[in-house]
Amino acid sequence: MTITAVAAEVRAQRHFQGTVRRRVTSIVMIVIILAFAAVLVMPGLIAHTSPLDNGMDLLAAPSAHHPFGTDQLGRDIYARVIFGARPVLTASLLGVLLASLAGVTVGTIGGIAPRWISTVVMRIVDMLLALPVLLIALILIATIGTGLWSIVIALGVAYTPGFARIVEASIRKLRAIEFVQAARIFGSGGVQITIRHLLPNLITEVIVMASSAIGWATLTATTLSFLGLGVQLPNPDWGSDLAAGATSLSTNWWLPTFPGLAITVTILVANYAGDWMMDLLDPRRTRSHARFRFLRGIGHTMPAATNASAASEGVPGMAGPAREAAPQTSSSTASERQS
Amino acid sequence: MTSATPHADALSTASDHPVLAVRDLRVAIDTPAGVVRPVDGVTFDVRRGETLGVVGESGSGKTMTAMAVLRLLPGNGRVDSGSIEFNGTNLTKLSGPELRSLRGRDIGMVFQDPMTSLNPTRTIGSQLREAYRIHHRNSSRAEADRRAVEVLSLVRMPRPQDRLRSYPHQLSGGMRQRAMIAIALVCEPKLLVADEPTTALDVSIQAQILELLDDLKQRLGMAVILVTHDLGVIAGYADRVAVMYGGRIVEQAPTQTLFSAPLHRYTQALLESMPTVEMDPDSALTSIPGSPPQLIDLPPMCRFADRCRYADQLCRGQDPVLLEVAPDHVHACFHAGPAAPPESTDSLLGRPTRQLPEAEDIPAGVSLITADHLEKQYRVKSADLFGRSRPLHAVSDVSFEVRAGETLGIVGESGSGKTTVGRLLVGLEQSTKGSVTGVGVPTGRARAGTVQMMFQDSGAALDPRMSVLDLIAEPLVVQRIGTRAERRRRALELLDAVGLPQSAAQRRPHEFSGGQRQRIAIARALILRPKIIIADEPVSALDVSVQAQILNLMRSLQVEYNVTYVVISHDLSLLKYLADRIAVMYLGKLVEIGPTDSVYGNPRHPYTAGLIASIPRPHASREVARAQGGLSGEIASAIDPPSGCRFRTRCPLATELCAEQEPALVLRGGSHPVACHYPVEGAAPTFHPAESVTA
Repeated sequence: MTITAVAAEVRAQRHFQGTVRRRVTSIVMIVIILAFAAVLVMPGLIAHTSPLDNGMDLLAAPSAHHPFGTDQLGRDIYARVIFGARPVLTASLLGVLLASLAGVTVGTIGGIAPRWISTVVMRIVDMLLALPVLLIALILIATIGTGLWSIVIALGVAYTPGFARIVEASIRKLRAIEFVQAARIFGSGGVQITIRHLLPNLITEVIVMASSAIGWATLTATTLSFLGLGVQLPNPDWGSDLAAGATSLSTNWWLPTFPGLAITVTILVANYAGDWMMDLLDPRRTRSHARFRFLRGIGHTMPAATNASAASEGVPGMAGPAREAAPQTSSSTASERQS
Repeated sequence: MTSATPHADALSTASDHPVLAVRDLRVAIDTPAGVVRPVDGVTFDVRRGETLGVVGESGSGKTMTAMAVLRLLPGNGRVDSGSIEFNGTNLTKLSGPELRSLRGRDIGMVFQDPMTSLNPTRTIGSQLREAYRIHHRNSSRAEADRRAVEVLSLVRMPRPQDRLRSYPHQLSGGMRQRAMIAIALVCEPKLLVADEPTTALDVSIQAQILELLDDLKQRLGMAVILVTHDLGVIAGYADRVAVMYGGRIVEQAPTQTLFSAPLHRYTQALLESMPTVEMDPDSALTSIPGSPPQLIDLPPMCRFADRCRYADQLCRGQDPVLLEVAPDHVHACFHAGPAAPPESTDSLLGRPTRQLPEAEDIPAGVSLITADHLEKQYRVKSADLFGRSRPLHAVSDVSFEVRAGETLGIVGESGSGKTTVGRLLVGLEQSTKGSVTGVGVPTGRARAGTVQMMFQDSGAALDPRMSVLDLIAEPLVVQRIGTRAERRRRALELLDAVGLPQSAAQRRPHEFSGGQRQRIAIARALILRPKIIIADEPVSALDVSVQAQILNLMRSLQVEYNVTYVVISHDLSLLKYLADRIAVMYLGKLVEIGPTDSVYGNPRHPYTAGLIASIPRPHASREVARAQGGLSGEIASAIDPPSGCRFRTRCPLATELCAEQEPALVLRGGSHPVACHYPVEGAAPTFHPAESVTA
């Protein structure tokens, strides 16, 4: 039995343990995301009373019958929270989708267009980035009027600069990496390189950023409806419900607490989903060798790039040496032996 | 120096009592993949006034050994067993504060990259003062300053007083490494651990730094541990050598013995696989197959057995023990013996003769591509808001031709413009002036079919999201050649040609080792059947043993696919082996070009002569191994290059004429053109000591 065979066997065991943990995480995340999807698509499945039904019990505390209690008009708060998710999640999902599409477009232009175009585009992005998101959203809503679609557009515009900035930086970074230059040597044109090499390598960052942006967009969306600029009462919405209940926190705590909790949970889930996605989408992720990376930094053995050329100003993470801890599956080692 | 007056005789009085005695050291690092044992039973001594060279490939545990001595292991690492005795104290038993008082004061450390190991936001002076005052609590600032100036002059830093107020970025690479050494020396340590101290430096600077370390060792009577992958460095500057493989010392011997009569099969293979200036370029390099083992849960066995041509059941069944064969000479090999000439398994790979292959359409030796007065300037932005940008002359007026079937080597230090020339040839950069023309070398997209490129870092040159098959076939897709099935067939064919199994096709680049990735990169460069491949430092990111595999592969493919190589490298030994003709560049200028034998045998430009003299050679004799009369000083700035001959600031032969008139690259009596007013005849010129020039 050779070294590699034994080592591979042992690694396979550890790998299995790692896989179990990762699978559990994935299952939990998928269940949560499906729950959100259900709430979004078919709220009636989960809450059986209508959020607009005025019941007999006014201001009832949480009980078996009304798990989250009722409000001044006897409406079930549980139903209102479940049904209230729809406008909030619609606004933030569509808003972020809009923002990421626009951001990728603007950022790509900023990253590959001729110098003067990219300068103009990115300075505008910089100016927008200097304004608070809420301010941009408020200005837009003041111009185009209130309502769900206004919020979607406002969120889309407000979050675009952030995406554009990240995408532009990544594109510039990727363009300095040798595989993009190699593609140029094969004769690929700008559009071809963008589609084949730049965008696929960007997608991870965009998805990760989008998933945490959903959290922040939820906050902005609910803030707007809290201010009365979104969904109008009596229709359920976390923001407007929170606003309505805010004054009775000391007397009827359940009025603002449950819409507030819903917002918090959404933001947490969105952020955690970002991390999870990042792990899931990393093409180098096959094994837990990611943790080995620290060894590369210490175990310098070979001369680093000695050319102070534009080519060598690559990115540490990418251009850095993968040689040290290059995951060696047993068969790949065997193949080198054959050769 | 206050207390340590230079002892010229420190070496002779070296006592037998070791400064550092490491016994059966085992280091474990916990990772999710298992417990890695980068150091597994290492035993060695270092005596006063002695340099112990620790040499090995990446992953052999040499750096971890050095780190363990300083107790600077990564957070999840620990010393499992064994002892590290320093002057009689066992370091493994010391507490944090005790260790801290020892580090820096009694044990100094020099790291590989002085840019990252110096704090960029603080001056050299303040970092020196800090190192001093940590261990001399009651010293005043003035005292610390005085000591700082002292050590800076000790490391031959020009104008030490002024340097105290310099920030690291204001110093050149060589000067930064001097500052780093000064910090390590400020408390007069008894032991200096130097981890790859010259790997990030150019060959000419490397020789200067190594000379300095050697001189300091003798004057201060320190013990030095020199960790490196470079056998040439070891040969010239170590008194004893420990060869590490797979976390163990496999052979330890006095330097001369190790290089003249290595006993362990790994040491022998390592020495054979390294291209040297002396070796016959017509013979193929002996490569070590495979790659080093992963150090997780290894059974008892010789770690080299899987790659060793002498290995048998015994080697795979039990751990070899260290045998002492002569005083100070130990090895751990069941089949030790004098090196035998390797079986000629590689004979096919090498070029039996230097006959240039005949192409179908272009006869060998005919100019394939011509660089005509190439010039490339970059604009360097000024730090001021409205400051004007200044031109950086990366390449100035470079003309040469690449002939069909040959291998042209371009050599030079960092900043010489050699990479830019490569990028201009392949069309990645547009020249500011001049042009690249040639037989059937179109411009733009169509050039891809004629000129291809291999990059230094194959990890970065392969898109991580694509499968190997897609990567190799990509040029065909871009050029719209063939059907899907046809592309697949051609890609698989090439995969076979570069020695990778078909099963590799569906995997992604990160699943391969560095050497295997470089094979993929070669396959991709070949798929369009180019006439020329520009290889920019093709093997400098690889370990010595893997280097040889790739070099042999490049040579055999050259014959098989009838390509011409332009190999860009800083490594003169490598080019001596690989190239038919050599072009030497300095600061954007071509200073000498000619057939390899004639450039190495009879260098005409003082720069070439100095570069060749600077190469550390893995040779048994210390005198041969050491750089004799290597270059002094450092490369000048390309933003404001010296007038006339650009090399004059470092040239011992420079006169007024050199400052006024730029020498043209013409034939000056010798066998090949040289750009120098006073071409070297015979013996190389002697260079001034560093300080007089760099100031």
